[in-house]
Amino acid sequence: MSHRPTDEELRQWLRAGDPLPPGEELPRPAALRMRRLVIDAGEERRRPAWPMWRVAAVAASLALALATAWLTQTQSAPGPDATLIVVQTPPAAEAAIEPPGRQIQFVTRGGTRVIWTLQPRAPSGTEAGDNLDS
Amino acid sequence: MSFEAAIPSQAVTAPENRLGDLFDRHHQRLYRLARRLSGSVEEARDLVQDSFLRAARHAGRLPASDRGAEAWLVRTLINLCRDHHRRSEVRRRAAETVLKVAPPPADTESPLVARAAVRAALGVLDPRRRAVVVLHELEERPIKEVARLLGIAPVTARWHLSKARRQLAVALTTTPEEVKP
Repeated sequence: MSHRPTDEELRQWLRAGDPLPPGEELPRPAALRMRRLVIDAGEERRRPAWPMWRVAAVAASLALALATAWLTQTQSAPGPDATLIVVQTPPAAEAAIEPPGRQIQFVTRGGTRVIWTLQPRAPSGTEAGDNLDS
Repeated sequence: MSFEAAIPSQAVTAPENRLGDLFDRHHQRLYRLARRLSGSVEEARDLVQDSFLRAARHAGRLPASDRGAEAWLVRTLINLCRDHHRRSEVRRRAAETVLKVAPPPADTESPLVARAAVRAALGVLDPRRRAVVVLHELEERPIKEVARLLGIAPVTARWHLSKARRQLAVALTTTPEEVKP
């Protein structure tokens, strides 16, 4: 064809060489398989990724783990009875305490160490060592 | 026996099975378009399947009307075709082949040759432009319908058609060096 084809000539040429052979269709078995695939894809999309029961189970497990951790932590903290220590005033500290006394130390649940230093105190008008019963 | 009769009745009549309804109504039409756009049976099947799978995965984006859904599927198919076109060397080989393809013979005894020539010429066109030509010239749809399906303005569709005709005319008028079946 030496001249530029007209639109009609072009159309005829395209139709004569239509890439789709006459009567060709997507075969039924292939179409049915494809349809099944598409429907399944749609159903999978609608199904939640995590079913409710699984979510509840995970939440319960997490709560249990947290409760166990908290209980373990509180039970391992030293209580006052377990750590009650009564010590004599160490000799080096005697000079700071007049007269020499006793110390009671204990640790609270929160971990605070409490030291009580007991000093004998002479009653008013008496001196240390006086017999109060007399 | 119609295609719908081969499917369980609840799949066709259940109103919530929209995907199934869309597939039943449009799969052959999409296949014919895919076959003309790609030129290969296997690729056409893949294009149709992938288009409907996208519809399944993005059902929320499907227009509510059947006409809107059809246009959505056509545009999806063309986009998939474009992705394939970019990835493959079909375009390059088609561009080389079209210069060596003879103009269509006067007789009709060589449809294979004619089909190969048209396939090669269409292969040079951008997928959207190819779709305009296929829908208008081969499926005989009016330009307004073509524009609606492709989601473009009618004037844009006419412009694509005009450019495509010029490109195809070049393919027809180029001096042949050899004929490739």
